[in-house]
Amino acid sequence: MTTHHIGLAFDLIGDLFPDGTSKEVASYLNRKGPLPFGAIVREVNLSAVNIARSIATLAMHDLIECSSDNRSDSKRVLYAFSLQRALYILHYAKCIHCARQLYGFDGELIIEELLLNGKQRMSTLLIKVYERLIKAGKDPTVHSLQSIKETFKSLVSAHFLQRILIDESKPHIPITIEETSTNLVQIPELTPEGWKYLISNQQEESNEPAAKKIKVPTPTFGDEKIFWKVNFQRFFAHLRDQELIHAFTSRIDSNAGEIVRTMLRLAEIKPNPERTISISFIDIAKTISAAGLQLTDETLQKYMNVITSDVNNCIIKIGDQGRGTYEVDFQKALSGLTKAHIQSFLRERYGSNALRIYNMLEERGCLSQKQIEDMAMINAKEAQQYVYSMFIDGMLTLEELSKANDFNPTRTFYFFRVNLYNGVLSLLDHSYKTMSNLMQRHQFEKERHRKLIDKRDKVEAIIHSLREQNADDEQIKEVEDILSPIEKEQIQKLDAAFRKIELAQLQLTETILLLEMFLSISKSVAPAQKKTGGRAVAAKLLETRS
Amino acid sequence: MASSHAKSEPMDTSTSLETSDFNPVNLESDIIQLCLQFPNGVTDKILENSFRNVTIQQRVSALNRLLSLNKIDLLKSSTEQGTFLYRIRDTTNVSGSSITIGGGATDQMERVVYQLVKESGTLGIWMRDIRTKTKLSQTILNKTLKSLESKKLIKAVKSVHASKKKVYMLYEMTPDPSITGGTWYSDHEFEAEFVRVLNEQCARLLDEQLEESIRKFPNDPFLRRTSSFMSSTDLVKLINEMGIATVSLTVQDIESILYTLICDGKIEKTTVAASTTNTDNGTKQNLYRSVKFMLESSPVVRNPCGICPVFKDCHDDGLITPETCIYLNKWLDF
Repeated sequence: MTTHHIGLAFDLIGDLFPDGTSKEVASYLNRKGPLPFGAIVREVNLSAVNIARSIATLAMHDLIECSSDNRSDSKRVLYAFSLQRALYILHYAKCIHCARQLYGFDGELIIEELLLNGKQRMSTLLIKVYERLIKAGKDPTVHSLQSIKETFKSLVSAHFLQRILIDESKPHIPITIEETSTNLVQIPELTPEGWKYLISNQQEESNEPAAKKIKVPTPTFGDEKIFWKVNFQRFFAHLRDQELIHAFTSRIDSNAGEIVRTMLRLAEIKPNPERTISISFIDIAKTISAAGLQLTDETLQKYMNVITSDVNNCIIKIGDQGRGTYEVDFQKALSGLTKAHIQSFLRERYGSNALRIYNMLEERGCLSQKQIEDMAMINAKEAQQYVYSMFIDGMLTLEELSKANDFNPTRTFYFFRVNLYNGVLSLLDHSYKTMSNLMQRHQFEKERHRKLIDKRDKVEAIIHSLREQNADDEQIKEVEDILSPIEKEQIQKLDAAFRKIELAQLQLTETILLLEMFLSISKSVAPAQKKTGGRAVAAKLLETRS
Repeated sequence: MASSHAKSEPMDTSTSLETSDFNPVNLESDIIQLCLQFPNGVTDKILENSFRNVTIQQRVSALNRLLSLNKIDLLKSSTEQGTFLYRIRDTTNVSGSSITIGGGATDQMERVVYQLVKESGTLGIWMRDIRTKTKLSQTILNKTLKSLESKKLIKAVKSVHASKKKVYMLYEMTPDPSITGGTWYSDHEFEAEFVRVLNEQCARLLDEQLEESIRKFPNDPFLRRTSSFMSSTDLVKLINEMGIATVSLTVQDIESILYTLICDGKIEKTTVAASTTNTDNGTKQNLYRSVKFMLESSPVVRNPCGICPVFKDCHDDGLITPETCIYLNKWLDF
């Protein structure tokens, strides 16, 4: 919970809910912890209605969690702000993209609607998605209600969506159903009259695009009490798998990447704790041939051989049943990937020599300053500088071993150690801050050039409507000329800049996701930091040197 | 009586004079003969017994003469406490001859210091160690060392690890590699450039091997992997053939260079127990192979904030903010 962590979370919330009330309420709750509604109203300077509305919205998105107050045994509900969930907002775009890749347009829109609304019933979801597809000009026969429902079903069976039930005894607290392999999810069947209503709506839509609707009382759809929401953990697992496949493709070759992809897909079918699952060779061979990749059994064996002997040891052979049983160890895979990120960070920020020192320390455990200088084959002065910079950044930790009882500096050994957990923490913090910086700059540029952007939007709207009315080209050209060439150039530059920022942000979310997953899965604990002021000493030394 | 006493003394001296006049040189040569008979040293007692007719003073003066002529050595006996031994000095000794050749009367202390320096061999001995062993004072020791240096008998060698520390060793000796640093140091300076060049060459050789293996076996990943390995002995041969280094490098040297390449993340290493036919010790071999990075570049460093030198000073409302950041300006072409 660093400053940057919290700052980023509030920036994201401010982005998603542009009015200030949600941000204020959330920040107040974050400071004070779980509070009942009365306490919030008393302290925050906003009207109770507004507060209630913002809490309701935030609760729909799971940003505020409701729990019952067990201590005083009253029926009060406590509201608590969930920082972790706020940061998931970062990954919305990636989730939508995943859905698009796996399930096409329908899937993309389903996920998008769910993300925008937090939780929804299936019926409302279907209607909304259908309407959006029609408005976007898609062919209604291809993207019919039926097809949307099928996509929905497949999303649920792949565990991308989770069901929420409302417990009758505690009507204000929703409970998420944990999906297990035995408990198959039941898609609620819509009542027949509800279905008829939907289909009649569909036909109406296709006949008269902008006709007025006959007021028909909306029937019940049979799924009043069943809500759905997006299962983030599943999406994250999918993204992690993508990263792993990518790594193997770049290390060995594309065939290896495909093999790893099939392995991971087989793993999805057997849900498991986040560590390992075992897959037999025969399964892999079957799935690969089904996927269309022409690999003979021998070649496959050879590939498995090469994959298992790769450096990370994340795919290991554990037995010989079924001509070879293989396991994917996610902990090792994640630590390998995070190490690669940290190494790239060190390489770019401090130089390849610093990376050399880091790797050397990782292999040898702990080394003193003198030993590092000797072994790394680098100038002694430079080596010292690198070691101390990395220490300040949090990648290395210092350990003191004293010869005497008092920690006299001339009589103590100072050892440097690599601590992956700390390194990841500091890199994560760095990424959060970078993300906030990028968002801030984006906001600033938008404000600065607001007039230009507004002008451009108006012109585009006019052109669009002219095109719909099939006006001639001369009129369109006239409208386009409202913007002078200088302005056009500026707009172009602005667009390019925004694109760059957004791209950087997107790529950064990948790193953030990976690092967070590593932290949650890692079993190592950060070593207790001794308060010896070693960091201040290092900083001072670095100053005097430079 | 006093006068007789007084008289007796001069009589004694006269007699001693007489005896010394009689055979001073003889006494000395007798002592030398005796010393030669006992090469391990002659105690005072033996001398006393052998030259009964000689007074203590005569004997002592003869012994002093011999000591100053460097013919015998005065040693303390370890077997009997408090007695002294006189040992013939071996004039056929090389060092002895060099001293005597070197010129005339050399100082006793110089000799002692010289002996210590000689014993230290190729490692050399530190000044403080000489001081503790000889218990001489600083100034005298300095003088001694200077005179020995001027006579070109010893020299001072600066250690490469601690530049202030000087060790002394005999003039003719070549310093031990631990002091000069070995292959990577020349003139007491670390040759970073040389190491870097070797580094790049090894990386390049291994890369070429990898590309060749990809070309040879496009379909077989296992053979591709095994054929892209090169052993350290092969690499040593190739590097020595290329003639980059003025000295020929050993397997140890190349292995340390390859270790730095491993730390760079560019190669990986496996050890196999191979018995090759053309090497003497076919017990263990180290094989190296070039690898590609798992990640080309992390997204953290693809934007200016990742490598910004003032990252820690950047705040929402401070002098350095993202809104006016010059690095971001440059990156976005503003």
